[in-house]
Amino acid sequence: MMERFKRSGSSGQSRKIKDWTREALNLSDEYSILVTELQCSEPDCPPIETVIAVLGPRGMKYQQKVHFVVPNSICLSRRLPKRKCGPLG
Amino acid sequence: MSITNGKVPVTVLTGFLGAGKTTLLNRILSENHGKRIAVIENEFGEIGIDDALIVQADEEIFEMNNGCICCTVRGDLIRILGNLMRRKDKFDYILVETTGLADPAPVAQTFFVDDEIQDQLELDGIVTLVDAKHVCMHIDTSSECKEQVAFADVILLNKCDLVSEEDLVALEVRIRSMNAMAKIYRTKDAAIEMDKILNVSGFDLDRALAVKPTFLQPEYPFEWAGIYDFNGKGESLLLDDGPDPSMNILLLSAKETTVESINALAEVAVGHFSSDRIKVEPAGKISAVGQVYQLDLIKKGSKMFELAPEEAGKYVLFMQHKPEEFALSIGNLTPLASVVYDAGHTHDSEISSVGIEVEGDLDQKKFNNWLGELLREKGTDIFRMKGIVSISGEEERFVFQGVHMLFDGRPDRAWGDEEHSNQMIFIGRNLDRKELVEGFNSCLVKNRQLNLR
Repeated sequence: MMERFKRSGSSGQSRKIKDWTREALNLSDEYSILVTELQCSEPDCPPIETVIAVLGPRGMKYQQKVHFVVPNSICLSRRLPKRKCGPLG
Repeated sequence: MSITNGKVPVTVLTGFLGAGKTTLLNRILSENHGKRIAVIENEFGEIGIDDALIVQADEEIFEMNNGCICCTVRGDLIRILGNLMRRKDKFDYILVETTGLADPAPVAQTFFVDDEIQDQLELDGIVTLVDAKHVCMHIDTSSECKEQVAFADVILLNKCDLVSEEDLVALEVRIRSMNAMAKIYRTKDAAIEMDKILNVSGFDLDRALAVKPTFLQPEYPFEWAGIYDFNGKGESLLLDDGPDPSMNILLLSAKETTVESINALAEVAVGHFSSDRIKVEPAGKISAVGQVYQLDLIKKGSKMFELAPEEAGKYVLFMQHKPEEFALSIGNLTPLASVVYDAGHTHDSEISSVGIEVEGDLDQKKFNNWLGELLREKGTDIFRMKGIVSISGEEERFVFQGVHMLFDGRPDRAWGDEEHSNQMIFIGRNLDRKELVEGFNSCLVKNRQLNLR
């Protein structure tokens, strides 16, 4: 919990992940993308997770949590068109 | 400067229907404070200021659950904030006005769920307007009304000109029992100085402590206060058996014989009540002003003490318990004015504040585990949490604040020669004070010699 907060200015990386997500899922500006790192204290969870959430019009919502992020790993739901699905997809 | 750390400050304005939010918004936009403010409002056309930067919102609530953490956010706000930040040269402050029936949680949590939002924007504070005349119709039955009070950093008791002093005091006591952290102001027509609602650093516990050092006290340590006129000779303070084997009392000089003058001294009295007290047995003398005396009431039957302030004059006597609980009398004197502060059993026990203050260092792993489990198990009942803590082995203070299960923290300035201490406050529903205090204390490093520095 404490180690995470020693790192500052992560919004540059967040911006990259948002760009990858928008490109991978072909999302218009109508969709908002949230990216944040969270620490889950559940026993089986890894120390840090990146949560990517897409909030769309009319209450549509998709979430994915990933444990490492590369462009290939962004693959949220079968209801959205898939581009490249990595090992977490 | 409005921008702190390069971030644009954001104030959330909330309050029940008719409390005066629009009046306040119009005041803020017409005031000559030098800030360029962008307003995100929920009803277009309410604000009557031309050329103000105003954006309409739709209050779309999204529930997010990643399996570990559940939260609600304002989807529309995320879009709007993103768009606004592309025009950030046009403003240096953002105000978000919520609807009257809004739960402030989704708005607050929106500022925790995205790293870009956290890097660019800073939630400065939540300002809640309360209609002092009509809130009593809602505060017992409306969970939104209660949450708007519980989430606030600043509460404006508006329309106070329509309410009696007695009712205002009772309302303040009730609100304080729910939210010990908020600064409460009485207003008429939402008139308030801008520096009391903007740039208040509401999420900064340091700042809150500087403004109100006693706010970690959960409630007043006294239930009653009255003004008496002493003629310089001692008076007999008589008490019968009561609910407690002891009682703390305090004398302070009174400036006027009004309820307002008693209330003006209440915060000062709170500070005194946390200081050392002098124990006094029956037949003993109480004379020093500004000193808390602990009356020994163990003996059965009537007990007499000599109440003799050193100089003649008017004094406020603060008592831990109400006089009638001990059939208390002071010679032939009657109080010239009095206030009841009892917020314990007759008011809202569902929503409350728990403040913790303890010296020492925390074991990082134990604290991680305790806080993680607490937020997992009780996160939905914890509205807000703020803390400044000392982690064993760390040279810097660690400050954090949270809304429900989400929280954010950062290292702060170095402790230096300052005594290491920990301060936390929780505001929430059905909080178990004993459990929170014991849990927190279990995270303390027992043997400070083991600290690695």
